[in-house]
Amino acid sequence: MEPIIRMSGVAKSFGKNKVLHDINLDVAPREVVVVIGPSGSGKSTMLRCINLLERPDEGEVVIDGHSLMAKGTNIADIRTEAGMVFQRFNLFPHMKVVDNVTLAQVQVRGRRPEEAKERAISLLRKVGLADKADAYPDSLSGGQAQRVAIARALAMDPKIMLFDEPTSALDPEMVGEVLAVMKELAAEGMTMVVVTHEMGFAREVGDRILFMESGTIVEEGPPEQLFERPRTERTRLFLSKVL
Amino acid sequence: MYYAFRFDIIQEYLPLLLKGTLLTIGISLAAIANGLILGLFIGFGKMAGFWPLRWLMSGYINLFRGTPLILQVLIIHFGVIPPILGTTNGVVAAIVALGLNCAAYSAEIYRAGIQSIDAGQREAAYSLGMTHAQTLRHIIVPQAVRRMIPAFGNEFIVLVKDSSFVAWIAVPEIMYWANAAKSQYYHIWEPYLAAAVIYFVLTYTLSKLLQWIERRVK
Ligand SMILES: Nc1ncnc2c1ncn2[C@@H]1O[C@H](COP(=O)(O)OP(=O)(O)OP(=O)(O)O)[C@@H](O)[C@H]1O
Ligand SMILES: [Mg+2]
Repeated sequence: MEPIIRMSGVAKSFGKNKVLHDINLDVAPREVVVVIGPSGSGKSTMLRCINLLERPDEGEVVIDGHSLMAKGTNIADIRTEAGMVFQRFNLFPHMKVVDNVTLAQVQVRGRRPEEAKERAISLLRKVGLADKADAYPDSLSGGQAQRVAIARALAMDPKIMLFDEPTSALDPEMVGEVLAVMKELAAEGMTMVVVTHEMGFAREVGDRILFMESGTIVEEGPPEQLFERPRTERTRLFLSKVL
Repeated sequence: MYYAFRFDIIQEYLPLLLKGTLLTIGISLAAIANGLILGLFIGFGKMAGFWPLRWLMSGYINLFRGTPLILQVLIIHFGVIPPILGTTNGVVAAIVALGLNCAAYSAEIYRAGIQSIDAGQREAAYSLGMTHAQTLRHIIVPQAVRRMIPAFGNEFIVLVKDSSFVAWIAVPEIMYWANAAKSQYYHIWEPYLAAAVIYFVLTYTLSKLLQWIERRVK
């Protein structure tokens, strides 16, 4: 099957600091890839190269057959196909929850406002927050805010969803509600790339785990293999610290 | 010591002071309007990717913030307006000088307001496929404007007070008539207290108005 995400030979530096070295990654449709690794290893940067929030210095990123680096590619169009959920939610604080979920549908997808609102409400219901439609983001708990952020991304009907430590900024008692929404998405067949420290989630939901360190993918494999029989010493060392 | 406070001086000059007040208000409003519009271009110019533009706009801002307003008023009145209009014109010079000065400060308020918005807001909008222009229009500007209001309030109040400098170029506003009364009667307190009260009423009203606007947009 054609991969829906293909990164080949991707490298990225910030000034003299080379953060990604020759990243090669294919993600199949409906696959859930979980990225783990120590802080500063380049996980976020790799994820952000997939929707060009960071522009790779070298290599190529192809999303659903469209090269991101080619001249003439409309970056905004590609980004519409890749929803992103951030550690710090990044809801728009000056808009009601429902408007957060509606805005880009109207502006980017060109939907009629009533249609967009209907879709927004149904997505808010899906993440269990229909009753918060008219609230402002600052009245939400962290867990609720992150679920709204997921609904906002889903409203664009993306082909893939990127998650950058979606539960790291949450109080422990709120982690579960967000992971539950993500599990449901995975079960529905959404293609997902998830950076997380939640090893339970990685094991249960991930089809494939990537372990990153110092800007390279050190090891990858299905969860049973990577967690139970890591092939490299570096993976073993990292796992011994986090498990 | 006994000071004979002469209310009759204030009484005599009151109509002139009130006419001066209208002129102060008019000049201030015109300067603010000019400053807000010009400042917008300068502020965005200073954030542009094209470095010569950035450099030019920084130069403008530094020049107007780094020199005394009274000097700007005098240079524009005697050096800039006559070659353009063929004659001096105090009111035009006052509006131009105060407007150009206000633009420099406004540009910094716009820039600081825009740049105070968390980068995550822009990234979230981009990740939804929004363009640069859509992101500015729907996400950045509405949030930034709220943060700019208090700073603009300060700037407007400073401008109303600093408009008194244009008495130096014989624009018949509040300060001009207060000076005239002082020169005629050699009395300090009556004309200057009257002027102080008028300025205070103007700036206090302005600050209340801005507080009201600030509450409205929250
Ligand atoms: N915009 C940037 N400018 C400069 N350096 C950056 C930038 N973004 C990331 N870096 C650097 O790149 C390296 C990798 O960062 P990245 O955020 O990708 O790591 P990470 O694996 O996501 O870490 P964490 O678990 O802490 O989120 C770090 O050394 C970081 O300091
Ligand atoms: Mg990160």
